[in-house]
Amino acid sequence: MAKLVVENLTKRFGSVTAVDRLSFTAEDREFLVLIGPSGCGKSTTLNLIAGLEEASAGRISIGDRQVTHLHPKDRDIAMVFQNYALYPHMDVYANMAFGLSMRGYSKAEIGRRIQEAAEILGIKNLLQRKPRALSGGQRQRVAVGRAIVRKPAVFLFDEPLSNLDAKLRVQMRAELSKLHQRLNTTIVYVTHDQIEAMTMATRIVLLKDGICQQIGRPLELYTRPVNTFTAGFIGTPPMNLVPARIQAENGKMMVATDGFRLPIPARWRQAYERLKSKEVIFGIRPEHLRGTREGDIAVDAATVTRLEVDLVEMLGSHVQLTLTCGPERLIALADPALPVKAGDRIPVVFNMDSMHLFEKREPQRRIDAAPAA
Amino acid sequence: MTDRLHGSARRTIGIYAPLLLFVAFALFPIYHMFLTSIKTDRALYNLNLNPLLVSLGALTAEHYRLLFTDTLFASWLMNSLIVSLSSTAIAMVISILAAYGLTRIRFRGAATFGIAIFITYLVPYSLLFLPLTRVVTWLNLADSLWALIVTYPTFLVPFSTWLLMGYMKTIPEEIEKSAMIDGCNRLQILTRIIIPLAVPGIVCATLFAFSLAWNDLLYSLVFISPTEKKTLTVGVLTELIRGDVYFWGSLMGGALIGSVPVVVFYVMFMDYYVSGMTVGAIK
Repeated sequence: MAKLVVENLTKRFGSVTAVDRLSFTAEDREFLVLIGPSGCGKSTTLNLIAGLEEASAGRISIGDRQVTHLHPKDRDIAMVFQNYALYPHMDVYANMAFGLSMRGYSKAEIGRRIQEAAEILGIKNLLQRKPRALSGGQRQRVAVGRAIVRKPAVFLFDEPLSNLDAKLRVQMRAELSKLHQRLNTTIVYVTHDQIEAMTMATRIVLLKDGICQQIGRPLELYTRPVNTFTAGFIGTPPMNLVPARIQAENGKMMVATDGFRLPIPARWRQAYERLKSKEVIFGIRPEHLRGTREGDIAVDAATVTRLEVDLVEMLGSHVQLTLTCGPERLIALADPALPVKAGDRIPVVFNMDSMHLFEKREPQRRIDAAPAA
Repeated sequence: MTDRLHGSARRTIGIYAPLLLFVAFALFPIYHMFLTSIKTDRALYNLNLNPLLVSLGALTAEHYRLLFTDTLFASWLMNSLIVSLSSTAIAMVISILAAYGLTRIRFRGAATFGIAIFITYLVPYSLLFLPLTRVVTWLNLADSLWALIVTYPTFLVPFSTWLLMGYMKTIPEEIEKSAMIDGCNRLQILTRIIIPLAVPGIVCATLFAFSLAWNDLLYSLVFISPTEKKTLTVGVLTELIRGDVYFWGSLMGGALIGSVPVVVFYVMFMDYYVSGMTVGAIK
């Protein structure tokens, strides 16, 4: 149980910078998720924390100890790998006992800890089996058990659920969350699956090309993405992002694109005054774009635009519509009862209260109505 | 029902008929060696008799008696065993360390070094004996078994290192990382994790290395001249062919006994050997 602090961590492989001046803190008992597309440096970061790679620069501390240059075994961490990395020639008991016996724990203490962990994970009946005689889910449990028995200060998980099938993944996800509550310990968890990140994390660190994009609570990343990368990465289907221009018209501020012209909500008009005639990126999540029927519901006509339907995907609980909007494509949701087919032109309601604006020039930062104090 | 029976019968024949052919092909030389070694010379040189059969009256143990009493066959056998086992042991220790280092420890030139080893392995060893003769003389090892124990690894090491590198690459790196976090240093990882996991590969390499050393003729012929120091291959060849006189019976007896250890080792480690051979075939 300890706080993990990473400061200006940098890792270069030859001329490639895999991790670039990364700083974050995992508070005591936090479930911190490192996420990003493949090659973003998240696994490298985890390896650096574990001590499996030597940092090119920066500092790592666990609790009040500097561990940047310590051997992995001296860092008081345990790691769970994507492919489980169980020792194939040892049975489950020996797998879990290995790390403890290397540290010179007594046989009795090792046995006690293994029984305890096996109890928590429900693998008591598997202790005498070899890893090859276990299913994927069971192997994963053993891998977690091997980490638990060590009672480390920080748990490191490297995409632990990626090798499981979809159903088992959902189940293990819930179990890991419960385990975190039960063990009450600091976890750093690497994944490329944003659902895992959203459901399990207390906070998320989003990486791209070795550079930290945003750190925050899951909902914070979802509702207030700091740039278009975060906006597009978090959320499925991803946020719609369209180039737009801000225009003043009859005292209103409008977002204008090749496909629509919509008013910015009155309360933000003042704040966005400074953007007049500027090129921006307009973002809106699919759930805030609703496909409807002519005369279906009374809506503020100002936030409705008629767009052509390109593709209709029935998902049961809702329909996902791909709409043509000038050269762009927008994704909108609709009621499954909506009679719609490809080629139709339907009214689409934009929930402008949930719109986002980003700068046009890289790195396409978020433009807030109220600049951060 | 009958159809199914027919089907399974056909399958059995389909599998075993070619297998039987292959077994006959593989065992024929051994059969012939054995037969030759227990026939009297009179039967052996009689061209009117079927060479593939022997009549009971023409059986003899004379060739084996000659082998063990009139030649130093027992010493040659012993020499061969000593030389093959020690050179294999030395080669395996070096190869395991080298293969692990080359596959797992990232250092400048590791890849180049691996390729260099492969190229060394490709150099015909019949070219190397000339320079090696000078080395052996310089080391003052000529005419002693040490000459062979020291020189055999020159071709055993590149070969087994290459084979083991291939095997070790198949062991997931995460297992090692895990062991490192569990508190192992490099040597402990090697002895407690890698070696137990590489047993099939190591057995395979050991068997190959042993048979290479056991079958060697050239180095042994060049580096050793005293009769009592000869290995089996050279001993049988030089002492049982005198001028143009071939002691066929004893020659074949010697060759037969000479092939026993290799067969025994291969059979003992059959399972490992097979799984070592098929590494990487299925993931």
